[in-house]
Amino acid sequence: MAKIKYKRKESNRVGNYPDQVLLLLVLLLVSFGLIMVYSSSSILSLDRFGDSMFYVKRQASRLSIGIVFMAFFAFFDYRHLKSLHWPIILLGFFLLVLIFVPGISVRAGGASRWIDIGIRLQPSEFFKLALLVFAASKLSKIDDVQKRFKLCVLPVIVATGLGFLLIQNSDLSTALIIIVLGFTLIFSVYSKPWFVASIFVASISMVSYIIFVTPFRLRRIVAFMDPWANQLESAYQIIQSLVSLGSGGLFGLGLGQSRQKFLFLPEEHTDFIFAILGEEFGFIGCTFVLLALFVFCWRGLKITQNSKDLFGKLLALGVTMYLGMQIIINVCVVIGLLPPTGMPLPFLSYGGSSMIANLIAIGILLNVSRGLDA
Amino acid sequence: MNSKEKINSKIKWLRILLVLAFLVIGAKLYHIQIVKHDFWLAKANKQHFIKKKILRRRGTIFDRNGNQLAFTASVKKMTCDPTKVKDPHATISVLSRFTRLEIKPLLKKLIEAKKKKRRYLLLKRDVSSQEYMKIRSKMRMERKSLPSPNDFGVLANCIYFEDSYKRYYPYNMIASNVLGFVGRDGKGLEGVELFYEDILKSEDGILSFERGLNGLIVPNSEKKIRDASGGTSIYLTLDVVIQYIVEKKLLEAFELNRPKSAVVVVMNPKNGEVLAMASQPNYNPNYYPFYSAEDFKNRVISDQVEPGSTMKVFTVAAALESNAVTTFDEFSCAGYIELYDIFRIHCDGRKSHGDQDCSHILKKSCNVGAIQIAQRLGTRRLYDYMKVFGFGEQTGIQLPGEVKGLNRPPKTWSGLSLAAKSIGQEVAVNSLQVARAFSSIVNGGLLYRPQIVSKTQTVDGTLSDIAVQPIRRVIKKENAKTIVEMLKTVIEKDGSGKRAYIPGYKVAGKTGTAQSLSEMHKEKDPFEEETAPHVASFVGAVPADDPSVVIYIMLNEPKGEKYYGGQVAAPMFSSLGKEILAYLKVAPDPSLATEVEKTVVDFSPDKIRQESGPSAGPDWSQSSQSTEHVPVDEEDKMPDWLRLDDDIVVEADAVAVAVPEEVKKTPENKKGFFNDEDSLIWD
Repeated sequence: MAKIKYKRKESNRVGNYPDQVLLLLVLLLVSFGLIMVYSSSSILSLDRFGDSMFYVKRQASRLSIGIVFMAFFAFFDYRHLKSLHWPIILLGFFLLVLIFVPGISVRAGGASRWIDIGIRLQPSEFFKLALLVFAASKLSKIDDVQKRFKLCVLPVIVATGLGFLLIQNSDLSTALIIIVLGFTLIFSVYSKPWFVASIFVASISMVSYIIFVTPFRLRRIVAFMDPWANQLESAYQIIQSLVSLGSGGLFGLGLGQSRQKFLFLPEEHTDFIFAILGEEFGFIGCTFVLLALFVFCWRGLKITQNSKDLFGKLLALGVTMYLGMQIIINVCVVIGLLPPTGMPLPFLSYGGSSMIANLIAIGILLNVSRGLDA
Repeated sequence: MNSKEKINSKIKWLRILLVLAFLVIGAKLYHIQIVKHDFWLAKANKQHFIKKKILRRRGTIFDRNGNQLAFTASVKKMTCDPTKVKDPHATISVLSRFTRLEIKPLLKKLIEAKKKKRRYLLLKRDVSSQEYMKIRSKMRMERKSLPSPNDFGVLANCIYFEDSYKRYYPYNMIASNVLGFVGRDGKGLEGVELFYEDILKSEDGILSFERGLNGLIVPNSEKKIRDASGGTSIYLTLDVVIQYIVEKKLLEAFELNRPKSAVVVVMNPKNGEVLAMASQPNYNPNYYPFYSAEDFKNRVISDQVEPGSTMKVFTVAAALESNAVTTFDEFSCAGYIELYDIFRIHCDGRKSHGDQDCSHILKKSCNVGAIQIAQRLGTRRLYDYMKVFGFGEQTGIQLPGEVKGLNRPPKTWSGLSLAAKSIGQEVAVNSLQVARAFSSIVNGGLLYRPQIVSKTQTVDGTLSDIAVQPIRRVIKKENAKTIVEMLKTVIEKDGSGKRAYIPGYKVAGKTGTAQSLSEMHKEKDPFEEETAPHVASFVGAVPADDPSVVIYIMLNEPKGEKYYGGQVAAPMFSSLGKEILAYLKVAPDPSLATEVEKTVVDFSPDKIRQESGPSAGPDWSQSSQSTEHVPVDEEDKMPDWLRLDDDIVVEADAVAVAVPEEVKKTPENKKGFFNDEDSLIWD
C-alpha cells in the first residue's frame, strides 16, 4: 500500500515536467540576487563609474542570457550529452589553456582567471561543467564494462588532475572544488577502500604543499587564525564581513541601508554579498536565504535519487555537489569559518560566467528531474 | 548492488552532511548576529560615525574700552603617524621652513616614536591658520606627485592636523596679576581666568554623521550630539592705558627702591570700579611656566600688611562720626606718649607737635594725637568703626585669593592694642581694603563693593551688566567733607605728604609708614622703629572735592635710603595722578591760580601692546571676532576610520615649544615653578 502511494506521489512530482519547486526556488534566488547585487554594489558603482546601476545592469543582462541557457538545457534531452562528452571536455580544456595565451588572458586582482575572446569569460566556471558531464558520461558505463578502472575511472582521474593543475595556479579554491567534484563522482560508484585512502593522502599532501610554498596563502591562513592581530591587513576583509553581519542583528538595517557597502567591505557585491545581505536583512533574512539554499540542495539530492538512469543520477549528483559545495564554502568564508578563498555565492553573487554556468547546470538538473527512462 | 543502488545508498550520508553543514552555519550566524550583535554594532558605529566639532572658543577678556586683554585663537595641532614617516630628518626640516620648531628634541622624539611603532605623535600645539595653509598647499602638491594615492611622501599622508585653541595675552605682562592665565587643559588657573572660569569656559558642540571610506556622507545621517556652549566674554573695569601708566611707574619704583613687593590700585571712588590694579613682581601669562608661583600673586588682595599712618584717617573719621571729638578739640603732643608709665610711643623723629587739632594731627601724621583721639573713642567704637570701614572682611571683588586681613575683636586686645591700632599697627589689611575705605570718605561716606568685572557678553551678543551697589553708609556726608578738607592739608607745603602735590589739582591724601608685619611676628618690640623693615604707602584722591580717582600705593620693605610713605609713595602718587588726570581729561581746578604744565599722554592701546613685549600669538592682531577661522580640511585629519580596535597604540606625546629669547632670559632669581625639564611644556 505504502509503496504504491509513494510511487504515485513520486510520478506526480517529477513526471514529465521539470521539478517546479526547484525552478521556482532558483528563479526566486536569482531575482533576489539581482536586488542584492544592486543594493550592495550601488556605492561601489557610483565610486568607480559614476553610475550606481553599472553592476546591476551588467548582471541583469548576464542573468537573461543564463535564463535562456537554462531553458534550453531544461528541454534539451540530457542523454545527448553522454555521446558529446569528448567534444565537451576538449572545449573545456581549450578554454582553460587560453588563460595561458598572452593577449587573451586577462589579469585582475593579481591572478589570471579570465580570458577575453570578444566576451570576458572565466574558463574555470565552464570547465567545471564540462568535467561534470565528462565524468558522468565515463562513469555511467561502469556497470557495463570489465576493465572498470582503466576505462571508466582513469579518464576521469586524468581529466580532473589535468584540470586541477591548469587552474590551481590562479584559483586554488576552484581547483580544489574540481578535485572534490571529480572524486566524489568516482567514489559514488567506485569506492574501493585502498583507492579512497590513497587519493585522500595524495590530495591532502599536495594541497598542504601548495599552501606552504605560496606565501600569500599561508598569510591568509595565519590571518584567519588570529584576525585581530592582522585586522588592518590580511584579516581586514573577514573582520569587515563580521562587522556587516553582526551589526545587522536580528532584523537587519533594511534593504539598501547597509553602511558597510560604503567601501568598508571589499568584494561586497561578489564573494561577500552574503555579508551585506546579513547586514540589511539580519538573522531572519539570512535564515530564509539559507533555508532556500538548503531546500535547493535537498531537492538536488532528491532528483539524484529519483533519476532512473545512472548518467542522469551522476549528472544530478554532480550539479548538486558542485553548487552545494560552493554555497557552503562561500557562506563559511563570510561567517569566518573558513579562510577567504574567492568563491562566489551561486545565484546571488555578481559574476557573469558563474551565473551562466550555474544556470546551465540548473537547466541540466531540471532536465534530469523530468525522470526520463534510461 | 549496481552503481545506481550504490549512489542511492550514499545519498543518505550526503543528506546528513548537508543538514550538519547548515546547522553549523546557522549556529555560527546566530552567534555573530544575535549573541555578539552589540559587539559588532559598536565596531561598526566606531568606523562609520565621524564626529565633527562645532567650535566654540573660550570667552574673551576685554578692558573697559573693549581692548582685548586675553583671547583664544584657533590654532592647529600638528601631529604625525611616525610609522609612515620615511625620513624624519627630511620631514622635520621641511616643516621647520613653515613653522617654528625645536628641531633637535623633536627629531629625537620622532625617531624614537618611529622605532616604537607609535601611530600618533604630537609635533606642535599651535600652528597658526596661515602656517597651516602653507603646509597644506605643500602637502597637496606632494600628494599629486605620489605614484599611488596611498603612498607616503615627506609630508603627504604622514602629517596631520587637528583643530585646537590657544589662549593669548596680547599685552604680555600688563595686568597679568589680574588676568591670570589658562592651563594646558584650558582651565583658568589664576586671576579673572580662574574666578570667571564657569562663565568664560566653552565647550565645542559635536555633530556626528556616517561616512563611507570614499568620503561619501551617508544621506540623512547627521545628528547633533551636543550643542556648543559657554564662551561668554567679560568686560573688566580696568582701563588698559591707566593700567599701563601704573605698571610703568610701579616698575620704575620697584627697580629704584627694591622692595619685596609693591602694589598700586586705582579706583573710581564713586562706584568702586577698579581702573588699574598692579603688583610687582609680575609675570607674562603667555609664558607662565617660566615663572614662579610667587609672581602670579595679585598682591593688591593677596598680601596683608600693617597699613601704618593711613589708618589715622579712619581713626579720626570714627571719632568725628561718633562725636567723641570735634574739629575744635585740641590735643597736646610732647613728642611721645606714655602708656601705663612703662611704654612710650614716639612721634616720628621724637619731635613735639605742640597743641593741635584733628586736621593738624593728620597733616603731620602725629602718633600722639591719634592715640589721644583713640583713647576718647574707646576700644569698642574703634573696633566697630574699623569693621564698618570694611577691615577684617573681604571686599568681595571678583578675584580669587583675597585675604580678609586681621581685625581682631576687643576681647583679644592687650592694653597697648588701642594705641597701636589707632595708628595702623597691630592690624593687617589688604591694599584694596584701604583704597575702598578711603574712597568711602572722599565720595561722601558710601562704602562700595570694589568691582573688576563690569559686564558679561554671551556669544549671541547679549550684554548683562553687573550692578554697582553701595554696601553701606559709613559716615555722614558732612563728616566726610570735613575729613577731606583735613586731608587736603596733608599735601600742603609743610604736610607729611607734600610730595604728592599735583600742580593744578586739589589732592586729599595720607601717607603711611609702618613696620612690616613679617618682622612683627618675630616678636620684636613693635615700637622699635629703627630696626624693623617698613611698609611705605600713600593713599590719595584727586581732584579732592569731586574725585575722579583714588590711588593707593604701597611698597613693602623698600631697601633704599628712603622708606617713608611720604618719601617713596607720595611722589609716585604725584606722577601717576598727573598722567591719569591728563588721560581722563580732567580739567585743572580753576580756583587754583597755578600755571599747569601740560602733561601729554600719547599712549594708544595699540602702542602699548607693541611696547609690552614680543607678540606671543602668531595672529593675535586679528580680533577674536574677525579671525577668519580656517578649519582643518577633512583630508588633512588623521584617518580614524580604520581604528577598529583600541589595541592600536595611540599615544599623545607632548613636545617642547619654541620660546622667544626674551622669555628664556628670565632672571635667575625667578626660580622655575615648573623646574624639571619635561614640564617646560605649555600651551
